[in-house]
Amino acid sequence: MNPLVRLLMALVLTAAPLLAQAHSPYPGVRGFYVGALHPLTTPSHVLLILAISILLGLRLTEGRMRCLATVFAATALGLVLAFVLASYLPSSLFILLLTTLVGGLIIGPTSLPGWSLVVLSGACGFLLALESIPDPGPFLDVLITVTGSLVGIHYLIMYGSRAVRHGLERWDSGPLQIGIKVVGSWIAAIGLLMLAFTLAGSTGIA
Amino acid sequence: MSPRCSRFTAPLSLPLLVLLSPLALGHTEVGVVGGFISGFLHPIYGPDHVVAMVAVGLWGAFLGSPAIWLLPVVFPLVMAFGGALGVLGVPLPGVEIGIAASAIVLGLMVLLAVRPPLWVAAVLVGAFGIFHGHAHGTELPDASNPLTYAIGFVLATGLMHLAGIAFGLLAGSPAGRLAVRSAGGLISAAGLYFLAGAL
Repeated sequence: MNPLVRLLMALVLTAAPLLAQAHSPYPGVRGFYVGALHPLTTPSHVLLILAISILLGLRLTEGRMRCLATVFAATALGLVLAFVLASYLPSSLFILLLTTLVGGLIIGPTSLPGWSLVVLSGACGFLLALESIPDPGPFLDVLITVTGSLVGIHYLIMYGSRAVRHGLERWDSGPLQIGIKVVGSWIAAIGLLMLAFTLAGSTGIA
Repeated sequence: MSPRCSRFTAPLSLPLLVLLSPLALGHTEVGVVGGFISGFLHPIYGPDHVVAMVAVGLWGAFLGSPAIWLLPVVFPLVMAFGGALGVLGVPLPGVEIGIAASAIVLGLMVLLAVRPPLWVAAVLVGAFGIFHGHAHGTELPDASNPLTYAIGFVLATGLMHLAGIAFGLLAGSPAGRLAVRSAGGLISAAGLYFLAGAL
């Protein structure tokens, strides 16, 4: 198929589901979508998901499943513990700190021990989960929304890292590697600045 | 409005409204988009920042790989560190002089085709990045969305490096090399002008 036609079809298919979002296909399912899309509505979450996806795609040639399983388990744990810990932990600060660290690792050493990637993946899932619980409500509604968050976080990291890996395998060229390093430095820089803004805001400097 | 009058006033009202709309920009931009626009325009509106950031890309392209990507990677990182110091209120003496000096030195590096070891180039660029970042950090508009401000700010910086790299790639040909080195001279001269203003 002509690449241009393929691209147009992809765009049409991407645009079409927006029409279907006018209403939920099944009553009560709306909360699931809200939860699943929640990571995409918070810029700092998007930044962290982008960073960890790039890092996993870049550094992992094997053992990706172990990292993704850790993301899933840590996200599930975080979603459960969030109801107790969310008000005590400065999770937004940790998220920015982790974003800066992961951004730095994208441009840093070319190989990282497998266990460090597992730990980083788990920390990402856990911290994102802490900020993804819905407002109090009926148990079933909360459960559906929380399930959506679990699926959303996991799928975004899974597909993101796979897309980066696929890109590197298909176009293993210098410019792509360089582009990824530049994006990594931008992510680290944005994370660092945001961290400063947050600290300044919380300490009343700004 | 009579029909006769509306024939003339209706077509005129649209351009009039368009002309009046810039007045609405008088207030501080707020929200996500406002923060992005503020951050994106902040480095661009400062010619002293622009010339230095273009010079980083220009010098990187002039030095070739790996400096072509390493310098534009180092600069935003260290600049963000300087920005963080500025946001947190940590004082840094001689910021404006440092910014002017960055244009002078980086411009001279290109003009004189200086090829130091990679780590020297990275340290030099990084040291100047702190001054640029600090200036931006202390001048953050009050109502800006911090995250989108940071995104716009870093993107604009990166695009200016890219502009410098694109121009610096002309150095492959003899005429292009002359053009690139001349651009370095112009940047250095602009830096001297900024230094005179800062002193």
